[in-house]
Amino acid sequence: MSTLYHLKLLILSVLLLLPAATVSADPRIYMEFAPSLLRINTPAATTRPLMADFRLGYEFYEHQYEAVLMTSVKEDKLNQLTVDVPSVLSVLYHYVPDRSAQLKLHYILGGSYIHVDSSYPGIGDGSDYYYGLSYGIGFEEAFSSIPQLKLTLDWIQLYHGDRLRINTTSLGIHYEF
Amino acid sequence: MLKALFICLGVFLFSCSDKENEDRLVDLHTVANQDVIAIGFPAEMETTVSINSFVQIEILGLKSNGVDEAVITSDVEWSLSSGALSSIDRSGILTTADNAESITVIARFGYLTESIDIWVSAAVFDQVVALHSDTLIIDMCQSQVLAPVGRYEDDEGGEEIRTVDSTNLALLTWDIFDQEDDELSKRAYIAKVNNQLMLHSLSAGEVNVRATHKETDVVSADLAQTIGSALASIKLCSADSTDLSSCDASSGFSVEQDEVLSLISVGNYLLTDGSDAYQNITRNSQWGLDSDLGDESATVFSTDRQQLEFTSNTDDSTADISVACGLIDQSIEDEDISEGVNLEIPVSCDLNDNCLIDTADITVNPLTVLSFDVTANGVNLTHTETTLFDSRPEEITLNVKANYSNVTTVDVTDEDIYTIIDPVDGLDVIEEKEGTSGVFTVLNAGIAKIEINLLGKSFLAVIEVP
Repeated sequence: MSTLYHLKLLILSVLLLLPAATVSADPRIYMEFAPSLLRINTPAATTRPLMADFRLGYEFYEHQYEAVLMTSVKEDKLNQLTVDVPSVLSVLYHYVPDRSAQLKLHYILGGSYIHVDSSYPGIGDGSDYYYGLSYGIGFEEAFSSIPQLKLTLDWIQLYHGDRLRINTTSLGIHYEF
Repeated sequence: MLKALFICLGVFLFSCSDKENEDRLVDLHTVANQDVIAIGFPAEMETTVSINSFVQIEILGLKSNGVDEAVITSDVEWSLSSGALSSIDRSGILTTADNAESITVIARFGYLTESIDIWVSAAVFDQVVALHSDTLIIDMCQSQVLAPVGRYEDDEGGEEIRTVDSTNLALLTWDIFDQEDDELSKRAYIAKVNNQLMLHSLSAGEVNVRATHKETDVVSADLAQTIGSALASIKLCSADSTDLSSCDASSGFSVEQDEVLSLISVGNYLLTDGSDAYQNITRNSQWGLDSDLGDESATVFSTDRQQLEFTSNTDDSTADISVACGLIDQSIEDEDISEGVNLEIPVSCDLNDNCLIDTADITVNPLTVLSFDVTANGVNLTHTETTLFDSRPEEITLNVKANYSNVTTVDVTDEDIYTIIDPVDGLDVIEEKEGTSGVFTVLNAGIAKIEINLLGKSFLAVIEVP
C-alpha cells in the first residue's frame, strides 16, 4: 500500500464525517462563474486551453461543497498538436478556516474527471479521460456594497499523475442566494 | 443526498490510478514540442564500432513540413537490446563493451520508436586507407569534410574496412606533402573541430596525405589527393554583400576611424556544365595589408573566419588590402596556414601560375562630431539659445566636450575652435583672452556670440551679459 493510498483513505474518511457534523448550520446555496486557464503539463511541454468554469455549491459555516463543470472556450496548439478539453467535471470540498477574514483562504479537496481531445499529423484525433484526486487553494473576498457577491481566485491541481499534471487557475464571481 | 455526493467523491478518489492513460498525451506533447512527425537514424551512421570505445548516437527528426530534418537533442529515451554488455546513457553516448557483440540501439521519442543493429567489433584499428568514403573533390581555396576510412584487424587475421571511429580519429595526426618533392605542403591543411575533420586548401596541385596514429605510431600509406584549379577569379567584397555574383571592390572601401570594416573574398568557380558558382572563400584566401598607418591599423579574421575585419585608429589615411588564392610570392609559415594567412605586407601573384588576386583601397575617414556639450562659467548652454547671466562676470570661461560618432566624448576646450561673432551694432561685448583657449574677457553689457566649430560641426553659444 502506497503512502498516497493511505493519504487518500484519510482524506475520504474526513470528508465522509464532515457533513454529519456541520449540516445543520446556516446553509446557503451559491453559484460561481469564472474564466479558467487550464494547464496540461508534461515533462517536455505544456498546453493551455481556455475554459469556462461553472459551479453550483452549498455552504454552511466553514464548509463548502460544490459541483463544477468546465467547458472549452478555446483550444490550444503546440506546433501541429491541437489540444482541447471539452469538459471537466469535479466535485470539490472547500474548507474556509477563518470566515471572519476580509480575504478568505480556501483549502480545496475533491475529485475530477477530465476529457481531453487531441489531434496530431499522422496520429489523427484521439480522446483521453483522466480522473483522480484534486486539490488546491483559493481566495475569496466579498464586495462591500453587495455582500452576497464575491470575487474568487482558485488554483486547483485537477489531476496529478506520474508524468502528467493538469491544473487550472480561475478568477471568478461567486454569488450566494 | 450529501452522503451520496461524498460516496461519489470517494469513488473518484479511489479510482485515480489512471496513470496508464497518460502516455498518449505525454508522448504527443513530446513530439509536438519539437514539431517532429517521424524519426530515423542518419544514413551515414556507422553500424560497426570498436570495442572499448565511445560513440555518440544521434537520431534525426523529420519536421511536420515533411522536408526539414534536425538532430533531436532532448527527450529521447535510449536503450539497448536485452543482454547487451555495452551501455548507452541518456544523451545517446554508446559505451561499447570489451567483447565483440551484436546489439540493437533503440531510440524512443514520444510515440515514435526506431532501432538500428550495431556490430561491436573486436577488430583493432590499424591505419587509414582512404581520406574519404567517396571520391573527394576539392578545389583551391575550398574546404571539405573528411570521413577517413580505416583498416581494422582482428586476432584471427580478418580485416574490416570502415569509417574511422571517433576514438581513433582523435588519436590521428595529419601531414600533407607535395607530390613533386615530398616536402611539407603549404597547399592545404587538415583541421579538427569538434571531432570533425576538415580539409582546407590554399592552392592547386597534387598532394599526399599521411595519417599517423599517436599510440601505435603506424603511418598510413600516401593518400593521394588532387586540389583542383577551377577557380576562374577572386574578388573582394563587403561582408554585407547579399549577391556574391555582383559585388566588387572597384570603387574601394571607406571606413571611419575606429570603425570595423568587414570584408570577404569571393571565388568564382567554373562548374563542369560551364556555369559559375560564387563562394565565400575568405577562410582559405591569403590576405595582405599595405598601410601607411603602421601599427595603427590591423586586420583580423572573424571567429568563424568567414570574414576579415579591418580597423584603424588613425584618420585621414589609406590602406591597400590584397587577397589571393593560390601559390603567392610571399613566404608563409605553418602557423599562418593553420590560423589563416593574414600578412602585414601586400600579397602578390607575379611569380606563380594558378594564383589569382584582387586588391582594393581603404580610405579611413575622421570621426564625425555628432554634438557638443558646452558650459559657460558652469552654466549649460544650448545651441543658438540665449542664456542670461545674473550678473556681469569679468570673464566667460567655456568648457566644450565633443560627442563623436564612435560613442566617445572628448574635452576639446583647448582646441582652436572659437570664433567671436561681432555684434551688428554697438560695442564689442567680449574679446578672447590672450594666451588662453575658451576664456573670454567681458568688455561691455550686451549679447555675446561665440561660434564653436570642429570637424564641420558647429555650435553657437549666445550669452546675454547684463
